[in-house]
Amino acid sequence: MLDGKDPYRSFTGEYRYPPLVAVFYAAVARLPETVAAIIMLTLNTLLAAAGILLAALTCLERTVPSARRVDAKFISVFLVALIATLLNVDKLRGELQMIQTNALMFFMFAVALYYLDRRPSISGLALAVVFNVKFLSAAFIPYLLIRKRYKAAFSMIVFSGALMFLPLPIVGWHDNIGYIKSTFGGIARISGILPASKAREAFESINTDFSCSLTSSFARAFAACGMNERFTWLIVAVVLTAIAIHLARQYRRANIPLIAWPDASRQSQTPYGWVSALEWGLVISFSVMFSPQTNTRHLFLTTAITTVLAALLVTRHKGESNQARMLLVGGLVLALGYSMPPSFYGSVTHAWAVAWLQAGGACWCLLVTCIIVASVGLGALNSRSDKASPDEPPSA
Amino acid sequence: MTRPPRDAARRAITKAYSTAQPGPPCEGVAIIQHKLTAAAPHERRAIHREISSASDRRPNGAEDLDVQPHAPIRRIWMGRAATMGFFGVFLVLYVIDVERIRTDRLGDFHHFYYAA
Repeated sequence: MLDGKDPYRSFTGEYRYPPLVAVFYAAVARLPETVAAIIMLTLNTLLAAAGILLAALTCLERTVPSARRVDAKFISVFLVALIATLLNVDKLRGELQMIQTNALMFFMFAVALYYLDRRPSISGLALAVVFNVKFLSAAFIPYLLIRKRYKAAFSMIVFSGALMFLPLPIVGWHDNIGYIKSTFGGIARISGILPASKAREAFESINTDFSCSLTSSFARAFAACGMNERFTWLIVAVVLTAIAIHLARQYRRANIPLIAWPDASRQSQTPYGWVSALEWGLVISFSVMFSPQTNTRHLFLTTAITTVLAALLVTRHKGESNQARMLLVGGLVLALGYSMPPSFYGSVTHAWAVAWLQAGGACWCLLVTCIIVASVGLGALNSRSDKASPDEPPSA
Repeated sequence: MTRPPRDAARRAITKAYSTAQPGPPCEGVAIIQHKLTAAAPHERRAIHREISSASDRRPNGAEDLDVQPHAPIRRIWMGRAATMGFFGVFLVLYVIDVERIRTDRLGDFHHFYYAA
């Protein structure tokens, strides 16, 4: 890109992102490859650590109002962050090893949650950065609108458009428009809207072998039966509807309105503050789970749900041992589903690992964990509001 | 045999902070206050130092003994272990990956690098 060439036609041929990532990498593109890689690894490591800490802090603040006190915060934040990290350490390893962009995205997701009530425009900007890296924050636009967070949604839409034109000073108007067309052409191809023959770039289809999402596993099953891959979206809609019905029941039990929330200015109060953090984890996890293409590194983003799980576990109250056990089971299912079976090339276990990936095993485990966390998280609202004063410290 | 005031204070402080709850001063604090009153001036300084240390070096030190809701010592150590564990995980992964980069295994990095 710095030499005036098309980044989508670089010799590796593997650049499929909006142009923003190439702009970020332009800062190190003139350095020797090894030096640039070490700089980006350092940056990735710092972003991943900072993102997890910020997410842990925000989840704690929203779980227990007294966590705003400095001493309780300091002690519990690192405990929550450590548990969240250990539950997803295999994907953190993969993320840092491949020097991917998910650490940046997770940091931006954490910033978005932190500023959701404080400065909605910054929250929208952070989500716009994610949108311009991999479109994985797209689900937040309808979510923010449903939750009456209009400022954040408006900010996200405006900044998403603006960031697409960030390469303009480097590459000029004509090329910039071409990059945007390439990106959206790729998305249309991945989603099955545009046939492979009409896509400008060589993007893999929805049933590509490396994707572990539920959507891709459905698409592969349809392809194996010789059916059109567009049926995939029908089954995805059915599964999502079933999950939505289940969650709606959980909301009703917890006396939380599913849709009719108060204005954004009053959503920082109990119980909306906590439910917002829970939904933040769920929206990110479901985006990864049902994305048309999710490689195993993307699963690092589901540290969002492990952070919510860890915050619930650390702030559990006396008498919540059943809920704690459920959370431990949920964490164990996720950790094992993400790291098992071990893959050694040429061995039997490698074949098992491939079959597990093809069946979307990791994302099925993620779905189980999400349902457990949602159930315990919403249930905790009832039990804790009866027993505890708002300033009671967590019992961990 | 009478225990040295500092040892007694340490036990009392541990008890105070492990049972601390919002509300009126608890038993442990009453013991500390008693020891302070009974102690000689040089012992009092030692007790104050112990209190400051046990209360995680709060700026107000011993004057701040009206038992604010405060984290028990068990939780302070848990927090320190979690802090070291958290940064330890990242440090280990970072060192391993720097070694990988030095052996020319760059992961997905070259896709972004050559696109830029």
